[in-house]
Amino acid sequence: MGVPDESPHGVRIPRLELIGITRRYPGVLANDGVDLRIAPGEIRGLLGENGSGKSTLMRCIYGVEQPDAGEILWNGRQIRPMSPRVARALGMAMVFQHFSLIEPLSVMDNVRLYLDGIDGFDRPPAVMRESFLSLAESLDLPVDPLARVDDLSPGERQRVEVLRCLLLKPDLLILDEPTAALTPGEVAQFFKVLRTIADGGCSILFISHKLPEVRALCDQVTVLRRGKVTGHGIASVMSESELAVLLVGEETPVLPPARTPVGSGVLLDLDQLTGATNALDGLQMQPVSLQVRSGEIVGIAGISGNGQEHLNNLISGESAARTGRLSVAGRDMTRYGPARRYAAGLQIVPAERTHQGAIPAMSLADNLLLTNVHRYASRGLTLDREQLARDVREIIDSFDVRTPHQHASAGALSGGNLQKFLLGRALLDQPRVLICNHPTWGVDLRAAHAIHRRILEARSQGAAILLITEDLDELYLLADRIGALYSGRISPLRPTRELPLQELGLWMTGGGEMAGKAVA
Amino acid sequence: MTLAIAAGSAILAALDLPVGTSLHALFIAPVSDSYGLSELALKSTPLLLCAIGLSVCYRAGIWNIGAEGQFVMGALAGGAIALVAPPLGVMTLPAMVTTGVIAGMGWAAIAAWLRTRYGASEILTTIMLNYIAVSLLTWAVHGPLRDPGGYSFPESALFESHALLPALTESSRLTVSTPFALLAVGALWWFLARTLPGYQIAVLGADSKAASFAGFSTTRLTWLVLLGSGAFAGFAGLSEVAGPVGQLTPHIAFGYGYTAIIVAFIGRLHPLGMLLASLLLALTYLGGENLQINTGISKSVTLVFQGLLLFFLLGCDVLIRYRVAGSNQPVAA
Amino acid sequence: MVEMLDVLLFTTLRAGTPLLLIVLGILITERAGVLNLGQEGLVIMGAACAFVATSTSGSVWIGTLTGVAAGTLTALAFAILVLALRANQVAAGLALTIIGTGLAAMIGDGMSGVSIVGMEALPIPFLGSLPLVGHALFSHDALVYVSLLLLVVIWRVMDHSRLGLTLTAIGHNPGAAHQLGLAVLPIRLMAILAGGALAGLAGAYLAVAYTPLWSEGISAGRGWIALALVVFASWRVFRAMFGAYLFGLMSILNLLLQGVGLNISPNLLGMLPYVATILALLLFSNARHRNTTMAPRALGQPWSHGD
Repeated sequence: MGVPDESPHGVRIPRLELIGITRRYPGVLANDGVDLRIAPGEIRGLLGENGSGKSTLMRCIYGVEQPDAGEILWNGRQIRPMSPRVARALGMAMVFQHFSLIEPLSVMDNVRLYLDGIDGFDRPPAVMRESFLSLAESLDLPVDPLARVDDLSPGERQRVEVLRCLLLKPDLLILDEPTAALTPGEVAQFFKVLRTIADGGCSILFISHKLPEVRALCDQVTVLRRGKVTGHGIASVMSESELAVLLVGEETPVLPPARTPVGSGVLLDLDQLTGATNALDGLQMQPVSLQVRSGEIVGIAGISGNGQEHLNNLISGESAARTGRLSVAGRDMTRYGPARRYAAGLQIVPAERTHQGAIPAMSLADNLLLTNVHRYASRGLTLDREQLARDVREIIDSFDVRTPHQHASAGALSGGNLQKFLLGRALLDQPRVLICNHPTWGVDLRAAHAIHRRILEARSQGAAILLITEDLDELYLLADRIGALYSGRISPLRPTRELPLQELGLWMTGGGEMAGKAVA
Repeated sequence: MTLAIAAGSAILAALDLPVGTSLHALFIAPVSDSYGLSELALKSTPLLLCAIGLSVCYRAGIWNIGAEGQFVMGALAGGAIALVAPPLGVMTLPAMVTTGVIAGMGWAAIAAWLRTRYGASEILTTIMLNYIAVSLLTWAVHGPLRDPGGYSFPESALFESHALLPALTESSRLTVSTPFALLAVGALWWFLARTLPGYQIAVLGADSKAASFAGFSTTRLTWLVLLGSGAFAGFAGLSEVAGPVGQLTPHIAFGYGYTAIIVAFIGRLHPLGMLLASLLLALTYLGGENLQINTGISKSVTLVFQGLLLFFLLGCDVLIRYRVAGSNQPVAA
Repeated sequence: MVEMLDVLLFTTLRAGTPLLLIVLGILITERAGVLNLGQEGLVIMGAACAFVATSTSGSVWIGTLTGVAAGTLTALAFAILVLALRANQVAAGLALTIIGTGLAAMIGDGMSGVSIVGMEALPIPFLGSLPLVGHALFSHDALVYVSLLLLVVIWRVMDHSRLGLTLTAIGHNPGAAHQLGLAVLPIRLMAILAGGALAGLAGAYLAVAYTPLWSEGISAGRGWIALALVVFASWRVFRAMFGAYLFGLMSILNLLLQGVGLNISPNLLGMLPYVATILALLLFSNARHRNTTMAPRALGQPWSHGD
């Protein structure tokens, strides 16, 4: 944007320089003296686990939040973006992890909102649509400008986000976990687009926790851990294990060796099951057939939004079945709701910890009750509060749940501890069938390790376990058989050892056997 | 409370009233003798009964504003039994109570049906049902239920003595509905803390997604809380006309149904809290009347004080919650 | 027959005007994602202040402006509660209704029986003397014209301007709007105040133009009916106008039916608007309609910078 890239002495001035950025939340130091320099046209990777402070840092740069201390230099000049509008006017653009699109509005309305108040973009709608379309075409990112965002797939929504950023011809593009919603094929194409943009002189800050992607795309990589920069280097030179150590700060703990499945009876049986509401978020769900045996972990891979929620709700009974059959431990449960299924020995660790699986404002005892009504209200009216309190104590002890006190509300627990409690809740009564959704998402390594160990133990005790996760490492570590969900359809299941990662990747994107007949 | 009194005093001062005397007339004079105290209990009974029902709705996240209408329908239907039904002798009173309770439930059932079947906002339907109930009452006392010997005043005849709830003592106007309300406070506590439906209601109110995950039926719980609320309000209405009022008049409700909303909130939806809040709000009624007698100022000062109480409660509530949330909420970076 | 239609049209327009003003105010407020159930309190405050100011100053215009100011100030109290303190919007709205009703009764105390000179009709030259519809449409008091002017302005702003788009975005998803750099809280504040001003104007219309007499029940549930009308109108400006006049017609129907000799108790006929409101809710609340309406997705949910 007309700012010289070089100083009079020929030294390249960084496009962006951060000096000692610090940001505190109550009880947490999210950013602790972070330094960062990005050159013009550079693609910089910013690597960090969930909770390492990456998102906070980006929000400070982009003016969504203000740092408590530190300086931001933009093309050599100190700035203090007080709002995203200011940042945009300076030439920054950002794609948020959770998109900032207004779903009920059209694509073009969202573009207009984004460009609102920026000089030179106060154009009539028709002109704006024209420039949007020609940009989309030049980058080979087709989107219908008149569609409602509600009706777009996650991949298409991302295109809208990126395209409206690029309309501004920014000097810096910040991307927060941009590939989370993309299929591997879409990722490859997206990276191509990013390289084109960078070649044009735009710096890119690429935030991720996926090592291979950062190594594939970025020139340099900076690693953030617990709010501090712990490492920095040339992305293509550093090995994945080197990066991994910087990332988590310790060697990955070793899991106990997997045991062979013990039981043989089918405990969870889905037979051509379809839900009453089959179309979900623009997704057409196919009939599901699936069997999980006692002492077995079946893993379902897939990018979020391909029907995981639907599959979970069909099994839990939250979505009523329309056709087909579902049985738990040999009992037909097709027509029953969740409470009856829990009573029959089904337990679920849901995907959303605090807005479904647990109620943050309620006590641990009340949260334990949520899926165990049959255990404490056998006569259907009065509750056995004493037994509840005993069981809460037992879960806290045996699952090492760190809590201020036994009567604390669920909201007072950290993510990892709450997840341990929820797993403890599910395993309390020795369930016949256990459904785990993303069981270690956003959980620190130590807790994740404990959770994995418990899932394996439950398997040894004969539970039939269905593991729905995006985390392929977790899947290969735990599962005995693996399948994939793609676009509302479930692939055949294959023993883990006979399924190479490449082929699974193909399934997750609708290739390979997924292209043929569904469901073995 | 302090803030509400301060703001109320400012308003009184603005109206050129002696603040000290007025406050005394409002809050102290009404309860300075035993008769005053019994009147306080009398006023707080319908408030408490209605608030008990409402609080269960609010815990479930169902915004029932319709206690007023349910109260009126209970009074109207129960009173009609006393006035027009064939003589039932000793069965008169039980029949009245049953009819009053069922009428309150029936009125609430309309809102429950519209909500569960059509997704219509219960806030708006219950308000409309309030207006309709008051219209029905007005029509009834102008027409079919008017006292034929009453010089064309829009009032019914006085109820026969066997159609009145037994008095508790000779000297006060209290009836058995007051101890019943106290009993209901205990029952409510037990219901909320120790029963499955009480727990399910709390879950539904806290997070409907969690309720659906647990498999609790929103429809069933909506019906349950609205019918329960209607039953309590209907009984409250009946026990007013079959108690201190003793006949049907166009103004039997006095806005009790609306004030009960404030009682529920100020009592933090907690049984004991609501017991105290019902006394406090009953005091504003007595005080308002007292002030009107002493200074001639409109008794709508009662409403202002009630509104201010709720207003400041809401404001302070949030401040307290902020402090708690700030101290132990884990923050995702 | 023509005379009858003329009266019908004329009185419908008049009776629909307060509803139209309230509905427009609610539309603005709710499009920004704020649920203000205190409309009844705003209207009656506007009415009481307008009446008292008219009676003391002798000018209906001073009265009208006072009514608007009263509505705006009362709405400001609500805004402080729900925006700054993040109070529950439903409860705050109820508190507003109760305080408004009480304060208005105190302000209007002693005003019963006082008479003021109401707003005069202002026939529009030429148009007012058109045959058939001239009198019915173009010989109203100034506030009726003002309400129609506001209707057009608000429609333009809401559906065809940047400001309207911003408002809608904030009502659907304040978090995303904030990330875009839109000023969520200031815009919500303006929306609440605009809603208060319009409700206050509606109250003023009732007290100085529609029935220039003071009574504590002057608002007669119009605030609540208007809240239901917005649902009925699926948050669309012109459907809201249609609804306002339809309900205006409903509220004068008892006069009409008595006019044609039907002898039904006025107490029963008075229920008509309320029954009709329930029917309207029944027909238009259905979940099937949800996706096609403009219903703000974040309606009633508090938001602040920490979210």
